[in-house]
Amino acid sequence: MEMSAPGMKNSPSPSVLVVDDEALIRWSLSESLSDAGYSVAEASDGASAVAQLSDGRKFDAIVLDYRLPDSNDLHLLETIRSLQPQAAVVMMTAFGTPEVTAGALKLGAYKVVAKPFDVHAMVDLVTQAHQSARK
Amino acid sequence: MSTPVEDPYLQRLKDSEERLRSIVEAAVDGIIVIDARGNIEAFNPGAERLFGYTAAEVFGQNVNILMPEPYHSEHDGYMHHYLRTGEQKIIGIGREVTAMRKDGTTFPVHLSVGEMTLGGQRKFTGILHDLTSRVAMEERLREQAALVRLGEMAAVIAHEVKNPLAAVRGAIQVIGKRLVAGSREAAVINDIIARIDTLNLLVRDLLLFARPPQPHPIPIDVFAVLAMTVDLLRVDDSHGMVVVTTTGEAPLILADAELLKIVFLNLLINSAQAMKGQGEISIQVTVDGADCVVVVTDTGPGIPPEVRGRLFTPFVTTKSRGTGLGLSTVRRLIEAHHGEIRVESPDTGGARITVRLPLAHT
Repeated sequence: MEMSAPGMKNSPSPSVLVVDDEALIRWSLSESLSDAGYSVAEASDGASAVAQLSDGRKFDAIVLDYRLPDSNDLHLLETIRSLQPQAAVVMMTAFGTPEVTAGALKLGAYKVVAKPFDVHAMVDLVTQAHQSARK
Repeated sequence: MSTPVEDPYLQRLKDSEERLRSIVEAAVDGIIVIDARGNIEAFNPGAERLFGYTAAEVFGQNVNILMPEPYHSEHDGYMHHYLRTGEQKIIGIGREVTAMRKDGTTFPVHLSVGEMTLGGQRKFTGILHDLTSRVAMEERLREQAALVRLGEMAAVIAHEVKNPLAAVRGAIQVIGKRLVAGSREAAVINDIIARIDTLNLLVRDLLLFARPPQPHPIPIDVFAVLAMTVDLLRVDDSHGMVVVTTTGEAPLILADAELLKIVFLNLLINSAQAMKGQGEISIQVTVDGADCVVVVTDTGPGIPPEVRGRLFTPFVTTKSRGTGLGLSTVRRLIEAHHGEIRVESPDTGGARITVRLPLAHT
């Protein structure tokens, strides 16, 4: 299996939390990120994401959908950033306005990606994001 | 002999007639009197203005010359029917009808008809009120309301379609990666992804038309934007045989470069496709007063007469595949920049598109 080796050899695999209410998106991101050497956790709404980010486990990256069953603004991003400021956040949006994008970047999101996207490009982006966050 | 003294009764009658004539002549509305056979007996200046005929031209003519078909042919029948049965279809009621000018063009009017008997003869007086501007305004309001509804719909569609597209695209990509590289199945997966991307572009185009982004105008060099757009045209190999030349110059304009690129790329792609990927597009940039004028001409077949009136109507297309949103979106984006666009198909062939955009104030 090919690995794009996002982490250093022999160090624990980097962790990523995928937050989306669409099961197929969680599945495809989870599969591709695992293939690339990540340890992946999933959340299908904002509350479950916040719960996982609050129980002590540190994440290297978070892939976050803008619109979730319990979230349709940037408050969730703000909460996530304050809970785990070390985690690089890549946001996804099906209908992002320039205002949403600007607001997300201002709150420290690494990038806002429009849906639909290329899954492999997303894996590369997550790698870039968490590597730049480590520097 | 003494001079004859004016009969006071006659004088009053003359005054009264004079007063009535002034009212008829000063009326903005058209007033037309016809006899029972439909022949025109009076045609006031208002009617002359509306129809483009002089009163002398229409006296004695059948009033149906002022009507387009089918009313033109049917009017005599209406009159016979009324004279025979007394059944009122328009007399005493009034309604909106279509009238026809001397030059053959038609326009909406409100027509009310009154009946009178003069010297034992039945006559009919028609008063015509021009509804052109009201109908145009109603049309514009309807168009705006439709655009607002379409914008709301597009936003919902965008989210509800793009999300499942993302789900399907992602899943199919993951599955595709597990297939044997170079296999028939792997090729099919790539085709599926290409179809998904086409669907996504359709949604993007709909959204761009229905909810165009607010321009963020800054002073920009229109020539630089055109150069970038020509490069974008080159990305598609099917435009490889199209020669594009850009000439002229202009000072800075106030515009959103990203939106202008969409405008010019749409125009260039239209020309390139009309020329079936082979021919010349020339872009001329000039200044006219406070405007920068960009004229795009091509050596294609020009615009078929039957579609010239509907070029900017959304969802109307002459291409076998296409949404018919290109030019409508182009016009919305140009109007958002306080500019205007004109499309012509000169006798010399090809299409000529003129875009005017306000220059930045210096």
